Amino acid sequence: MKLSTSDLCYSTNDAELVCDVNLALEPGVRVAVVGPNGAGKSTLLSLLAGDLHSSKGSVAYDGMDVPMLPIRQLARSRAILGQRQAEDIAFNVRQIVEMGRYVYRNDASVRPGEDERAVTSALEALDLGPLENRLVSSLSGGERQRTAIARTIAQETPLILLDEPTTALDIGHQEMVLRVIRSMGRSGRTVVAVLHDLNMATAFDQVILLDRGGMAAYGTPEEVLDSRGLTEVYEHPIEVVQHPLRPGIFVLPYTEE
Amino acid sequence: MTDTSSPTRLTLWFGGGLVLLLLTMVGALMFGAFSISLGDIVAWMLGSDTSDAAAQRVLTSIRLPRVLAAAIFGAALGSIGVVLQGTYRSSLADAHLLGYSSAAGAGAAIGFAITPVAAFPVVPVVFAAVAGAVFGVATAALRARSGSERLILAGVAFGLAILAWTGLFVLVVDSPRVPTFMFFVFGSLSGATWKGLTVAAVVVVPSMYALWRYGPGLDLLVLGDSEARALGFDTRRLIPTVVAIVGIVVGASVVLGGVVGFIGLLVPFLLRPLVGPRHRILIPASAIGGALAVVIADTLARTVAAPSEIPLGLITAAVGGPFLGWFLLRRRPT
Repeated sequence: MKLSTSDLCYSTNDAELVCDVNLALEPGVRVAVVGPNGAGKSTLLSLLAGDLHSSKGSVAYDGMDVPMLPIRQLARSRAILGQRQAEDIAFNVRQIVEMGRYVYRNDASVRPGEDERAVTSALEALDLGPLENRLVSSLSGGERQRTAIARTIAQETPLILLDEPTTALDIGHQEMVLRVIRSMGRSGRTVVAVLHDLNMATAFDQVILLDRGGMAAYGTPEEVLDSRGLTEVYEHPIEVVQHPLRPGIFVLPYTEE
Repeated sequence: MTDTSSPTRLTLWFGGGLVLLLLTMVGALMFGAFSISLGDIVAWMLGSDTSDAAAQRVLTSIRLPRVLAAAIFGAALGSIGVVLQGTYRSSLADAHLLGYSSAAGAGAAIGFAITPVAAFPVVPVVFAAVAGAVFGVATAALRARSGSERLILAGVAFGLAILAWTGLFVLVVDSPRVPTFMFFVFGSLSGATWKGLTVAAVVVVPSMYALWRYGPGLDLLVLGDSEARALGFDTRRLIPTVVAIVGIVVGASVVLGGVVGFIGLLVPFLLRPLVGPRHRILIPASAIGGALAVVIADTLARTVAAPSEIPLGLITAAVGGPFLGWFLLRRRPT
């Protein structure tokens, strides 16, 4: 599925939260959205998801205007991982991941066993097999985060929108999520992820750097993540160097003393 | 943590629950101001004549409709408790506390006032169902804006106000066609008839099935409204539908047994740890549990101080109140 936006803007009474975002994402591309707090990253994600309606401009999936799509069709087009996960839940991990298959209920075109396969493979991808019968309320923050990511993947949509998918995770599980995102891309699914860790953004195909709602830069990680631009947008000294152990760049925030 | 979703475990709970309900109903048929022997009940069930003609008359025209009414009434209260708790994402949501019952009661009072005593109570059910549904849709529209706890407090306030107006109406009209004010405060199944039971069942049973159909969607609401929408459950369209159906069920049950609290709160509370949180399971389980609770409560209501009757809601509040308080104090996630 192709995701495109044209002159996308969103404003409230007193502020313009997103302005003039123009994107044309081909299937299978992985895009990281970065920028300081309040830059409009989550708002942009909600606009791309069709959760928020733009005040100007448009979002389209395969040329179809997103606000016009019925909720069920939206749920088959894109999956969303929100920033916060509900904690006080008496459902177990597997039941939560099964919720990702809600939109395929009573659908004759879904083969028998298909839901089961999607849920099991999402659980395995996030290393949740051993936890599948645990109640969500008894999980750690990181385990809850992985459960929510597994639910998003089980939805098997061509577009996946992730708001800070790795925030609560340890380094090992952050890498695991990056591997999952990579495999999503290889299977032709588009991934847009809001990230705080700029080094994680180097693993994506494209990076959008947002600043006060606008696109300060958009391109490959090497193009967007440069010392001067980042230092300006984050208002903090940031140096981008060659990674000491592998090809590619490494982003290094530092304090001048 | 115990896995509450195992099919064997669920089959055992449901099977056991149904058997217990049937046995309790048979027991309820035996006890009352006029005792009926188990032998007479079994003989009647097998289609043969009972040894005592009076016993047979009491059984078929008084006791049986009343016990069946208790079962349907309890099933309705238990299952709508679950649905409201799912919809409002609060284990304290209940038709009684949210004001649905009072609204439906007001509709029922007006309906009773214009319906002859021996007629099928179609008009009261329609008035009560419309009042319950309108109240539900109107207040659920405010659901997104105010938190669940505030909505429940507002529901209590609205409910008390509507109850007061209903009381004024009942006193002013002063008609034998309208049940006493006590009926709208504490409920009673003493007026249960085959006619009332038929009308209520025709409304309640299909509505409960419709609510059960929404089960998987209601499950998604634990994640939050926007997550549920993202997964394909159209909250803006379906929540008003669900609460309207709940209002209709409340309407029909209020006409049958008046306003009775605690069943919709207590039964799901007790059953969740046993059968898990999924609505497709919890709705029928709470229907069985609610039926069981009300059949027992109603049997106590008509036997403890026989030949006089204790209002049903007094029993449920006297027993349910302390239980619920205790459970709330040590409550676990829902």
